[in-house]
Amino acid sequence: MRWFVLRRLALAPLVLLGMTCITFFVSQLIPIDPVAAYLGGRGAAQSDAAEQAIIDALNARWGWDKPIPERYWIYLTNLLQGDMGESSHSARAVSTDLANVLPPTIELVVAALVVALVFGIPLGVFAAARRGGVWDALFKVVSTLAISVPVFWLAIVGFMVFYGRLGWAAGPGQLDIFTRPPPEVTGMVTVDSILAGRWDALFDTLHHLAFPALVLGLVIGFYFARVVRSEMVDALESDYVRTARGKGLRRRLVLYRHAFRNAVIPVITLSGLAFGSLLTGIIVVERVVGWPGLGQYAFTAATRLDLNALSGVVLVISLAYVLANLTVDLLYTVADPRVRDGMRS
Amino acid sequence: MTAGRLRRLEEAVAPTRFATTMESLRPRTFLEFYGVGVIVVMVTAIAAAPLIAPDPFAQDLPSALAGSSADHWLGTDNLGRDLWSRILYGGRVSVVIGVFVLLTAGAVGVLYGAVSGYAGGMVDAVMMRIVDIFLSFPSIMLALLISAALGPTIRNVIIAIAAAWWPVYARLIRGQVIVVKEREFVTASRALGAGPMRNLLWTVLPNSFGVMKTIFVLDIGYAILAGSTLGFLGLGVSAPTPEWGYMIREALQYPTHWWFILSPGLALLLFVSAINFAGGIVTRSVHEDPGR
Repeated sequence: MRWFVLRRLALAPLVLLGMTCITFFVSQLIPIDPVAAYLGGRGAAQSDAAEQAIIDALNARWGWDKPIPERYWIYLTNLLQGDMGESSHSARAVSTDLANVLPPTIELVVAALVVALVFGIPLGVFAAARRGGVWDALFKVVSTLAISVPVFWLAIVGFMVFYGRLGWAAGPGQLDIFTRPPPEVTGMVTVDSILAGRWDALFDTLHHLAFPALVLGLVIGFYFARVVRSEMVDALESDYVRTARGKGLRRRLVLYRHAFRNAVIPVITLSGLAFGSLLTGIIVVERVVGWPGLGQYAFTAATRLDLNALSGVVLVISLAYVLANLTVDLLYTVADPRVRDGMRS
Repeated sequence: MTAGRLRRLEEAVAPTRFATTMESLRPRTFLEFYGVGVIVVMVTAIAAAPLIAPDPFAQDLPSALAGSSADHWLGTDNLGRDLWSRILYGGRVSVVIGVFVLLTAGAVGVLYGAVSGYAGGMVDAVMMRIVDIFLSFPSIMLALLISAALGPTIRNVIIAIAAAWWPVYARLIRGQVIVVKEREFVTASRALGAGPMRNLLWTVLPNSFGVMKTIFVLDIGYAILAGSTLGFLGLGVSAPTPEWGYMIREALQYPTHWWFILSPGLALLLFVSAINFAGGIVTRSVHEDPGR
């Protein structure tokens, strides 16, 4: 098992390198001369000499006149220095843009994950405890609908109802226009509000955060619940649970002490994978509720076919995904005593 | 050793039980009947679209964004096009995307995984590291990038999603092949003189599909969802072609017109959830399959 962890750690840089390779070659698929595309968006230069100077500068930076393997090397060295090129739609460096849009997205991801875990895990236990019953059947129907619904559509319809009609959800953005934003430290409005002691801003931003976090959290939560339920059902039919029942232990104790502790381990692995679908959900949900994060940025980049920005987003999200799954694997070795003890020996 | 004898032996050790398979594929619970029913009705309606719906491209600007009426059952969109018709024709795009993504990703993944698992050793190790890299992307991210680079057509959407999905199948089938290739009937077939290609394609692969069946059926639904997500992002099919995800994107600008935004999403939800409800049948048949 120690071997497994070491192997995972050693492979992570290789995987990241491979990912840059794929994003690079995909962005080379576009059948457009990158120099022409860059100049085209900026109007004609003053003179041929000036235009040639710009082309030379671009070639010096990106090596667009060089063969593809060499271009990849230049791309990679630029990337390692944090240079992902310029976004054609914001006319800023992609890395600057990403630094601006990441903090709001981190807030949303964390909030949605909390909702998903707090809601999904007990729901799965509940359905498993009543398996075969009416509640379990209802759970099956609702959770199947939840994993079948296009998240972006659910967010739109929910926003129309809870914001447009009922006025319960807050409007677009992170704060009301009348709320003075707290001084920016981390870029995460919740954290900044706490740091500045601005409780009015904190409540306001939590109100804005609630709707997207609930939409994403409930959808992912149902996904968690389905896995917890199926693991719990397996555990409840196992011999050790029958033994525990036979000893006359209370139902609740058997459920949580015996069955749940074994059923929850796969959920750890799963939350790493669910992180991927959460990030996908972010892209579409942020656009709907006007949350100024990575998703909104990716949506605009996709709409304007801004490949630099788009591959920046894909790299950042994939990096987060790789790190999340690595963390999950390490957590797994801690959570499962069989694996943990296997590591000691 | 004649090919005929080899054939008969393969059939004897790994028989295809068509009748048994059909028997186990019968829906049993209410939800399974519901799922199969909805799929049959929707696919029929989609296939019969030209017979039961008006032209999905005909614009009628004066009656744009109209509500439900005798002429337009679900009302019209922002260009006065009939929504009912666009939903049906949009379903064609979705079904084509779903089926072709699975065929493409399935073919590539199965072949790749089978070769990797059957070869073993260093070849397997290298081939699987490549799969690991592909699996390190959240699949829609890779599809998004490829689709943006290739341009928005149905073919490119299929390529983009399939390029992101094949590694899942490759890894699954590899796991099965590794187990199956050690079974007695494979050894027997090899002893009877079958070469590696024949062995892999005729003996190992047909017996490695068990788990794939479930995943395949359920994945049609998720491929349709992925296609509509790309459509919503503006990276799916291009403008006049009706597609459910792209219709939702268009409807986003008209939040007061309920049917415009509700109908494509409901169609997606109805269809994908029906596939998921019906998917239980395949899961069960795999569990009951003694040859798995």
